[in-house]
Amino acid sequence: MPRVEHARGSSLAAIATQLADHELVTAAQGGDRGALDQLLRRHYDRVHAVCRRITGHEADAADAAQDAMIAIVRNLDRFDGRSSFGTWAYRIATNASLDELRRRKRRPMPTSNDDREHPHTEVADPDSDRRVDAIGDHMALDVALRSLSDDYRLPVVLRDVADLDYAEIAAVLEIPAGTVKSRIARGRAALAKALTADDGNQSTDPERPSRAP
Amino acid sequence: MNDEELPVNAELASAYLDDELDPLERAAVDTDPDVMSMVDSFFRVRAMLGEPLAVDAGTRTAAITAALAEFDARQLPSVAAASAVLPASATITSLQSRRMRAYRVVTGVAAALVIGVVAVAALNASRGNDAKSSSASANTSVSAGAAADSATEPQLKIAAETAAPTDASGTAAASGAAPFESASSAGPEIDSRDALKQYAAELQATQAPTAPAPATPSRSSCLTSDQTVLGPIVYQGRAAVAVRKQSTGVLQAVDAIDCHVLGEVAP
Repeated sequence: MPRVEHARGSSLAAIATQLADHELVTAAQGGDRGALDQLLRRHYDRVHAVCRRITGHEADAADAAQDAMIAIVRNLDRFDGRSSFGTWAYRIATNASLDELRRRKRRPMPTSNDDREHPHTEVADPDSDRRVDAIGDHMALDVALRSLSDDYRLPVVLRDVADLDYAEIAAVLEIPAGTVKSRIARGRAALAKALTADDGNQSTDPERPSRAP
Repeated sequence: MNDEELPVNAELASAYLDDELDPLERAAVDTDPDVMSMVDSFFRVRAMLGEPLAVDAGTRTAAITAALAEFDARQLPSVAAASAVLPASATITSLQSRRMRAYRVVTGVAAALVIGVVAVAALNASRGNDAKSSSASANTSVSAGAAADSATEPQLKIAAETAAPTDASGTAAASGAAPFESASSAGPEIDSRDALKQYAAELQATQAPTAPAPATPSRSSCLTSDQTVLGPIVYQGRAAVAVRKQSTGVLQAVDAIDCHVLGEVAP
């Protein structure tokens, strides 16, 4: 089984991405609108995914992602390249998501019957059990994510959604790298437990990390 | 979650998954089935979290459009400044001093116009010429009269009679003078960006689109070829010119005295 590659910083694709981002950022800082457009489109989906996983609601995620895009533009002149553009953008996305969560707390809570964020699970085709199971897993994941405190949810999302390493997450959240490591472990353990409880058993994933280095 | 609830070796399994272990630690985990089982469960969590989420194209477009609009709004003053023909000694002055300076300039121009009109009228009377011998003098007499009336007012609004805005062809003012140099065709009072937008919309509704005006050898040369003059206005109490950027559609109120962008609004 091929080993899952985690060292994003050393992969050629990651390096190429960062170089391309650097060029686009430089051009955008110089007033190149097309470069900025390209840069934003390159990162929007992942920014949205980060916001979606942090806020837990699609509408809130859309608002947070848009706020993040605008904040990126407003602060682009201050980006000095010491971190990758992605790291910097996800920090902004994280803050935008937390702001959205704070705004949501001040709004009336949605009713427990509000299933606007959950996919409709009724399936006309009786043969699509696997799809229903997958939807159920994602629903369980969403519920489990929302039940995590920010302390554990944010590091896990930044690691597994934004693909940041421990040092980058530590910089974004302004906590020590050791704390990042333990919080990610706790967050994953809680999510794994929730998924296991939902399943009733653990699934054997053929793509699990290989023992071979 | 607290310490009691954290499974044993969870940190080890998590770090293994993230390739944060040294070779010795990694080798130890490789031979531990319990830890590897935990690695499997964490891998599943990460795989689910990492699955691409469907993003509504409209949502994406709206977000990027909003961000680009922010970029445009931030770029416009610097672009206008770069293209403007400003004196080398231009400095940032306070709003109060700028308003007072503009007021002094405008009232000075108004006074000069009054003197000129009086002189011309006197000449015409002495020669017995037709009052219409100079369309320019006829126009300036009307507007200068109004200007004289308001010369003592602190506001820069001068003429109401020639309030009709000029068309986009830039044939500013019935007097034929370039908008920046004509204090007599002050145009409507506009006090906000929304009002500027409304003014432009009304103009567009009543006039056929025309080509941008060529730059005239006057202070209006601070405009670029991308900017089309819509007409003179009084923007928040200051003599100004409404312009539209052809490339972006952004509307601007440009100070008639120093070409500073007083306000702008996206289309």
